[in-house]
Order: sequence, then C-alpha cells, then structure tokens
Amino acid sequence: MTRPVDLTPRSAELAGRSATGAPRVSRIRPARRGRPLWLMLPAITLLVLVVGIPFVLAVWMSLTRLDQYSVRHWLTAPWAGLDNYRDALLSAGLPHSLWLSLAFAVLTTVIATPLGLLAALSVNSRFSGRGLVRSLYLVPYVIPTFVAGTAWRILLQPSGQLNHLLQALGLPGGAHWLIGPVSFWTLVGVDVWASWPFIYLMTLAGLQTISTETYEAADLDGTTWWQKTVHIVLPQIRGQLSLGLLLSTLQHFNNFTLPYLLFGSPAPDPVNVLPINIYQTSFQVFRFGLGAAMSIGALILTAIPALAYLRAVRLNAQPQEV
Amino acid sequence: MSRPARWRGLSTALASVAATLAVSALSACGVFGAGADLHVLVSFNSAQAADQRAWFAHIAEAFKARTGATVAFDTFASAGDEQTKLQTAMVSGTGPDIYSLGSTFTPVAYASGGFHVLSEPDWQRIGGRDRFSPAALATCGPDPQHVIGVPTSVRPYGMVYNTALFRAAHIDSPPATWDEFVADAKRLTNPATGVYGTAVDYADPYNPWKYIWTFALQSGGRMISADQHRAELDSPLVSAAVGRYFDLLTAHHIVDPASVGWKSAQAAAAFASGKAAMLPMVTPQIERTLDKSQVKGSYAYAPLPLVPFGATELPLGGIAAGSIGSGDNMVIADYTKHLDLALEFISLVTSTPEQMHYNQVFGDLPSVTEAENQLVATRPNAAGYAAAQRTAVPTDFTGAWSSVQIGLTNVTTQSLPALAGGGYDPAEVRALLARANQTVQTALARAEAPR
Repeated sequence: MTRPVDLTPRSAELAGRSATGAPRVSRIRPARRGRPLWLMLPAITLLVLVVGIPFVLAVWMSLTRLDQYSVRHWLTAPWAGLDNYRDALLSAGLPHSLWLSLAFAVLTTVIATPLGLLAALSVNSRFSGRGLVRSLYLVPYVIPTFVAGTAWRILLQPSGQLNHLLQALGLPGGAHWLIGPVSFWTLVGVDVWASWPFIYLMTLAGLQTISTETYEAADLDGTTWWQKTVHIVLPQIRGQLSLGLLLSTLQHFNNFTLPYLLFGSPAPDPVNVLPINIYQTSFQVFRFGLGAAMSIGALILTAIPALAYLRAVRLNAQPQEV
Repeated sequence: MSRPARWRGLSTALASVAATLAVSALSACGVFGAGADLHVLVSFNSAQAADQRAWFAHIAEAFKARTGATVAFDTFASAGDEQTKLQTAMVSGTGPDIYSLGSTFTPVAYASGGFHVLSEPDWQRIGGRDRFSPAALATCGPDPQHVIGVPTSVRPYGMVYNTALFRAAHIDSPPATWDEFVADAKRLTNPATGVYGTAVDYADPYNPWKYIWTFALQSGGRMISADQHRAELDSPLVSAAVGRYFDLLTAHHIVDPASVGWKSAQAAAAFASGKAAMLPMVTPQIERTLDKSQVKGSYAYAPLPLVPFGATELPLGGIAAGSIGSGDNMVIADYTKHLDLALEFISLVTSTPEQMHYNQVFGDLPSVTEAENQLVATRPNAAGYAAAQRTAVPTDFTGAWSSVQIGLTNVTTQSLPALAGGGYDPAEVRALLARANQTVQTALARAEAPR
C-alpha cells in the first residue's frame, strides 16, 4: 500500500518545490543536508588555540595585577577588576598613544593610497620593461622591516646621508629627524615609503580583472583618461581597494617594528604610538595586566573598522553566497 | 559521504589536531636543542659571534670532562628577546636551567620569585662566596641570605682618554673631580678642528640614566629611599644631576652639538677618530673597538671622577660611585631538575682558569678576586679596569629598578629637542622627573602589596 504524498509547504520544500508546485531554490541549510561540518574541526581547533585561548587569557590578565612580582605564579595573580583599564586611561598615556596611532595609521594610508594607485595604473598597460618596473616597485615592500628601519635610522642621523643630500641641494642640513615633533612626520614618511607597494599590489590585482573590452568600449565613446579612471577603474576595483585600505590602516595602527627601530624605547612623546607604549608597559616596566588592558582597548578599536568592512562585504554578497 | 571517505576525512582532521598540539608541546617544552642534560641561556654577542661559539664549544667540552654531562646554550639577541624567553619560562615552569642576566635585571628576576635562592651548601659547591668581588656579589641579592645569582663577569664603567691630546694640552692625568673634567675638556675643545673635550651619547637608550645616577649619588641624592618605600626621583639633587648632565652640552660646550642624536656607537666613533678627547661611561670591552682605530696605543682607561660638580671632596652623604655594579650573573631557575649540574656548571665557569680564559676571549673582567689579581699582575691596562671596579656601587636591589632606568632615560629622551636648540627648561625637567617618580612609586607600592 502506498501512502499518499503530503504536499504541505514543508514537504514541498523538501521536494524542492514551492507550495504552488513551482520549482524553487532550496532554503535548506547545508547542515540539514548532512554536510560534514566536522571537517572544520582542525580549523576550529586552530582558531581556539591561536586566537580563542590567547584572547581569553588577555582578557583575564587585564583584570589582574599580573606583574614582575606575580608572573611566576600567574594563575594566582591578585584580582584588579577594572583598575588596569582605569590606569590605562588616566596614567598610562593610553588616550595620547591611541590618538597618535590613529593619526599615524590614517595619515599613512591616505598618503600611500594615491601613490599605490598611480603606480598600479602606470604598469597596467603593456610596455617594454614593464616586468622590471613592477619588480622595482616592490623593492620597499620586499625589504624586511628590520633592515629598512635600521637603514633609515642611519640615513636620518644629524650627520646622515639625508642631511648631506639636503646640503648638497642648497637646503638647510643638520636637522634632527628622530627627535622632537618632527619625529612624527619622519615616522609617517618612512612608513609610507615602506608600505605604498601594498596598496599598489591590491590595486593592480583589481585592475587585472577589468577586461580590455571595457577600455576599448570606453575609448570608442571618447572618454578621457580621467573619466575612465573615475567611472570605470575605481568602481570596478572598489572591493580590492577597500580591502587594501582596511588592511593597510590596521597594519599601520599595529606597526611596532618600525617605530621601535627608528626611535627605540622610551620613544619621544610625538611617536609614542600604542604598540610602543604597550611594549614599554608590559616588557620594560613589567605591568603585564596593564599592558593587557591597553591591548584589549586597541583590539576593540581595530575591530570596529574590520567589522564594518565584513558587514559591508556581507551586504554586497549575493544571497547564494551568504 | 561513503564510509572510507568519512574515515579519511576524520584521519586528516585528527592528524591536523595532533600536529598542532605537538608543535605547541614542543615549543612549551623547549625541546629545540634537546638531548642535553643542562640548558643555559646567555646573551648573544653579535660583535664576537664566532668567539662566542668557540667559547660555547670549549666550556661544553670542559663540562663534559668534569661531570660527564652535556650542556646546550641558547641565546637571546635583544632585551626584548630575553624578556620573551624569560617570561615564557616563568609562566610555563619549563625552560633553561641557568640564565645569565645583566646585573641591573637581577633584582627584577629576584622579584619574580622564580629563581633558586643559594644556600650555604650551594655556595660551598661553588667554592664559597668569599671568592667573589663584593661589589659584584651585591648585585645578586637583597642581602647575603637571599642571593639568587653568582657573578660570572664584571664590566665596570669608566672613561677612556686620548693620551696624545692630553699631552698636547699639557694635562698630566685624568680628572679626579667633575670640575676638573669640565676644565680639562674646555682646554681640549677646539670646534674649529672639530675636536671636543668629551663625547656624550644623549640619545642612547642605556647610558643617560647612568650619568644622572652617578651625579646624584655623588652629591648625596638617591633614586629610592634606603627602606625602599619612597621614590626620590623628584628630589632637588636628582633634578640638579640631570641639569649637570645637560650642562656638559648647553653650558660648558665641551660636547659636539650633534651628540644630541648620538647613541653609544657614535660617541665611541667620535673618540676612535680623535674627535673627542674623553669618552665616559664605557666598559673594558671598548678596548676591542679602539685597538682597531686610529687611537690605538694613544688612549688609557681610568675610573670616572668621584667628586661631584662644585666640590673638591665628596660631600656629606655623598657616595663615591664611579660605576654601577655592572656585569653578568648566573641564576638557576627554581623549576630545574638539575640543580647539582647547574651548580657544577657555575663552579666551572667561575673557576680561576676559566675566568682568565673568558677575559681573554671577551674582555670582561673576572668576578673572582683571585683571577682579577692575576689579570692585574699580567696585563698593564687591567689596573685601570680594576680601579674602576673598586668604585662600583650596586643599584637599588628592587623589582622597581627597571622603572627608575626607564624614567630617567625618558627624561633625557623628551629633553632632546630642547638640547638640540642649545638649552633646556629646568621646570620641564622637574615635571618629567615627577612623572617618572610616580611610576617608580607605583612599582614600589606593588612590591609591598599583599599576594
């Protein structure tokens, strides 16, 4: 005996049809179709080990008085509650360092972006020696930060090559690039030099996705170079460029190596950016709890643009990609 | 998915997890360099990397011959690297058995409570504490009953002076007071030829606080009160010490104005090229650099002046501090399972023959009195180093000491723009010292907090 087919909405859904009988896209979640989610176990395990546990530990540390006196028996470090967060705001210079890091990150990205964009546009079309130029553009990015920072520190000494060059050009030499208010602009300048190829790379990747037919069609319409850049190139590379801007800003915000190599620690106040301040607090004054509280604050701040970006990507995605 | 496919997937997943855990475990256990019976962490000597490797091999062989056990060395390249390795070991309770620490970091290590306090039987195994330089031993613990370290080498701070320039200026001997130092330096300064009386590394991350500490102690000032309850960086004597330090450049003009941006290497280069007649705050290790320079054979080492500015003798309450207690101390981790071997290793390294050998390789002075006496008897320039070591005074033995160093260095760092302009604001200096004092006071309070 055969049972009658039940064409209620649910069964119809299972059958891949709507209640009206028309074929429709299934809304069944992959897990319900028996998709082996357990294959994600290695990734989840790694995430827990590499991100989850350290993050939980950092939050816990930020709530304790973990320092040189308690590090050996860190599990029994005295509870501090929110004292470290209060100290970070009131006495550890967190607001000043946050402001510096934000200004540094945004300024560096803003200056590096047009440089990277122009460089990418300059090597997008075929010409003799394009490969060589593309390789040369990458030199600052390929040089390890440690080497670049050390080299710039030598160049920027009062009797360094930069001042010699300025004197040779008839400009005033003998400037102290690594001390005082000018040190902030020195940091911005050196970081722009080291990081613009990242924007260049991201932009170039986007440019490669634009078909030549699009340019040809635009040419037939008589568009200018500027019109093509504004109305064709930029809209089509928006995704890659946005990601590049986000990653670039976060990289600058978290850059420890370059300011540390250029200025050391303690750093001049104009370049006492957040990573340097946290390093000094944690590893030179040994207030690990306070350093953790400052790190959590920085994490929250950097998470805001990251989450905004992810949200934007999610909104732009097609339904089947969600 | 078919059953075999599921198993393959599961195997892959488990293998990934196992590999992850294995890497974590290997890192935690410090298995890299495993197989040795004893693990020792020392500072990497970038200037003498090959010599250091040879010394590692030499001492490992001697240790094997003495105990039958093997020793493996790990190195740290920077203060940051040292901190990472030390703190990882402290937190995990695993890592090197022996750490070679700088003398000013030993109080912080003591404060952590993670190191073995040497008992009388331990000292007997090493040959007795009387063998060691008292100034060096004083950097190893707060009192004789609570010593965690054994000094293995000392590096007293003193000065080198250009004997040829001194002769040309008819100056017979190095200065004994800071006023003489300034007077001599003025006679030796000739900006027209680019020669200055002295070289000072104002932008160095390590030396500025030593000048301020020296000037303050000689005048009767302190960084921390004797009972270690109160920070005293905001005292007038410390403020005056900072002023004396800056005055070398701004008031006396005996320093190249470019020195505002100098670190120790650039100051040494100025002396090595004959552009500075005196170079304070250097250890005997400077000899290796200078003997390859144009001043080879025309320089000598002397202790720093012991009488403060404006005085002809040490004032009441002043301390004849010519150098911080400086050098390396070996400490044993409290988690070690090889205490006997660790004591044997330290006994070997501090034996008189090995102390002499270490001096020949690296230039550091022996921490053992007998070896130091032998050195003075056999090497003509060692007398100056030994004299400098006799002026060494240990810094305050407290876990808050690093805050003092950072605070004083920061005072100089933030004053550099003013110095570059040829002056400084005493009120600004006092404000910076007050800020540093607050940090040190907080660190002292944390030491006393109940745990």
